[in-house]
Amino acid sequence: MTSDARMPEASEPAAELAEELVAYLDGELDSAQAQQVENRLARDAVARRDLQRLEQVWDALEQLPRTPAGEDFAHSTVEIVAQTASEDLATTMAGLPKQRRRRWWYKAAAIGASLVVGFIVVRSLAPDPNQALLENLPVVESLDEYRAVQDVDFLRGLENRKLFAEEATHGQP
Amino acid sequence: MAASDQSAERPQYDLRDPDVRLMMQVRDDDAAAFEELVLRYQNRLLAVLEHLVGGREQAEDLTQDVFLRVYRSRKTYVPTAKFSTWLFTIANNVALNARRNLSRRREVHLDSNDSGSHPGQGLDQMIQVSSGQIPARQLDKAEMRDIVRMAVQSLSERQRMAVLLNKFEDMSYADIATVMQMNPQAIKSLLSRARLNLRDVIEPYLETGQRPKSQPVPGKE
Repeated sequence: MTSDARMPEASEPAAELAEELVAYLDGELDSAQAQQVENRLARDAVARRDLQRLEQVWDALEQLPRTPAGEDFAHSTVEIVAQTASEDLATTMAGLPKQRRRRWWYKAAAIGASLVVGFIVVRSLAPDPNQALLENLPVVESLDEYRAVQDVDFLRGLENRKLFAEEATHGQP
Repeated sequence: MAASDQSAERPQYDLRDPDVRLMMQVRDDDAAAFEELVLRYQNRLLAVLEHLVGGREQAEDLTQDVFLRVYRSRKTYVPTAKFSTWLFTIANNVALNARRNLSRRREVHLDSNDSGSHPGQGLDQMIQVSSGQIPARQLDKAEMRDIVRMAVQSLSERQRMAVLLNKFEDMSYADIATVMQMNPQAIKSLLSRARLNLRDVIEPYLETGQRPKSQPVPGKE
């Protein structure tokens, strides 16, 4: 409630005056507005009478019964809440395995996907240790014979003399 | 807005309001704190709801609904207002939902010529027979209580709620506005019209014992 609101004059609708009087009775006016109401009440007998009538009716509301709750009301309320909470929990737990299964499948799929991707990435970036073996396979297959010959120059000399040319031709694919 | 951003600006309701502190214990699953809140607020809720809906049994059901909602929302509770304001906001919503579910509204008429069967009609006849031209000052407390109750029931639902919060809970216009999701100026106007409507019903009995010339129209705001 701001102090900008002015006190309605006697010629203005009674509803506006009533609003100010009710707010005054309820302590909802600021000091400036309350002072305006009091100034009006001081000079206007009708306003004073209206205020008295409103106050009288408001006081009559004290006649409205306020029957307190029964002795067991709090206990039954807590019981109802506890029971409902248990039912809510049971409902949540009943649905939990399905949710858990779904979560496990999602996790498994994510792990599997990450494994596949990781395998591909590592495979493409890391050197293949078997590649060297593949390249030297012809030597590996005849390693025993090569060990019997201790000198490579001796083997080259035999090749130059073409003593085993026919065997070499047959050995080629 | 994050809680840390709010804490620097909002009033410290958790420090000033003991019921907020209780509710924060409820948030931490403290059953004893919840029961304490029930004990503190059950009568206040019952008083407002009983006169709001016009029946004790329904008021009890609605009160328990309110506490159930409080418990269910405990984990998301953030103290941004007085606890009572928050609680009665829930109560107002519970009452609104209950009214929407009603298939038939009760209407209170004070005109004895009305042929419909209304809760107030038999009472009006009783008053006419028992008191007649006897001045209202001699009406006993029971009659006065019934007249006041009928006057409150003759208000619209919004007027009734505002009056009950103002009278029973001594709520400010600002707090009532929060509960009813209106602005304080609208509450000021609403309460003024409600008090004038109450005056039109109660005053004749207070001053002369006569029935009012014009009949209150429920729902007129």
